[in-house]
Amino acid sequence: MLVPKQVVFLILFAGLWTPRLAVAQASDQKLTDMMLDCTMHETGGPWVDAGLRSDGLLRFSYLHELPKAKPDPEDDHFQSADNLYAAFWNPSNTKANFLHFTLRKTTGRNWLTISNVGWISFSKGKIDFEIFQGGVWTYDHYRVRVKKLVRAPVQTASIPGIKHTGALCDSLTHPVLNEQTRPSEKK
Amino acid sequence: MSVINGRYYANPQYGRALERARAANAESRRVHGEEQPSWLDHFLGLVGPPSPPLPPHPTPPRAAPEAYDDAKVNVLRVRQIANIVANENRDVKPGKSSPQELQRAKIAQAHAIINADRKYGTQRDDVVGTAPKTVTGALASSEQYKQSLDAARTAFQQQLAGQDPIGGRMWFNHRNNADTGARHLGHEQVGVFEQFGPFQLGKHTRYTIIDENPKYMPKPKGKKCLSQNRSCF
Repeated sequence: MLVPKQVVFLILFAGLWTPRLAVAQASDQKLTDMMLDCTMHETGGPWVDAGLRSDGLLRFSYLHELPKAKPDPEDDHFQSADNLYAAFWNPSNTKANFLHFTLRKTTGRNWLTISNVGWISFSKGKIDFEIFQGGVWTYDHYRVRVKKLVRAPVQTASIPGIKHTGALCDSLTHPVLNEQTRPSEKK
Repeated sequence: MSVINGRYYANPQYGRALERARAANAESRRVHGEEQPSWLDHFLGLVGPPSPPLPPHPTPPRAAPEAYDDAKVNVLRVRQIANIVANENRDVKPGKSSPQELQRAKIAQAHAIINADRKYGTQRDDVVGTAPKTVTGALASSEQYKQSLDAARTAFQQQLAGQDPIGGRMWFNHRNNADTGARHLGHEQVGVFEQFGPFQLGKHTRYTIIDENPKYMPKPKGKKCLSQNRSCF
């Protein structure tokens, strides 16, 4: 029996992509584990308001943006960093804490810095958003991401089940500034 | 033969002493005014026409406004600080406030950026992130950019003179209402140090806020500003 070429191609194509999807999913799982770990266990935290997690659950949506392959050193720092944006929602998804994480690697360890914080709510059907650090440009940068976070699927995690991942966590209120462990910036 | 203050002296020690006396006399005349001749001088006809008054004390030449534009604070140059201020305040207009109030807000933000650069250097973007250090051509040629450049120059020169109106604070933002309440940052409440405005951004009201610094402020390890071409404080 002859198998149509398209079917062969599809089988080969699926075979090529299945392991990559699995890796991506594992990678996503690791990323969210680290993010939840730092959100709850970082020295300056927990970074989600008590009112949003009073039932022992975290409801979150996230957006991961990899650094540009060839970032322009003169351009914005977001392009050269591995950025993770997250919103932690209340049960009715009408109010959230916004966190911006910067990801780096240092001597084999993942390093997550909570770089900025914001507050999302809805007023007359429109997004009301405030950030802790930055003016017009920074606000616009985050606002585009917040719109995506509003549309992204919301996942849940049980707070007692959030484990320590071994990632190094710091934040804008408790930055780790040890030059020896801090990855050097090649800009 | 020695030349002292443009005069020739065979004995340099004598010349120096004489020139010191001349200078002291000139200073005394400048401070107390010219010595008035006595009645005897007038009687003997020794008083000539009055000598012209000494010129006022010269003022040191002022630096040109652009003199510091390439000076470095730590990692950032003054012009880059101006660019950040321009990006973070793009199209913000005085609205109900005076243009001076908006300029004060820009100067305060320039101070905040300077303070963060001094504190964190290359790590500033990770914990006190701001807009890019470059501006578009359209913004660079605008009047609002000139105001941002003025703000950065003013803040830099104030810091050089040991003045910082925001006392080392680093975080700023724009709120869309007059609320000056503290904000939860993790388990910490961070209050407002100063509010500017109200300003106008399109149809929206904006207030510029300089926040208090969070309580825990680590000291960066290792010395910065070692490079010769940096004008560190």
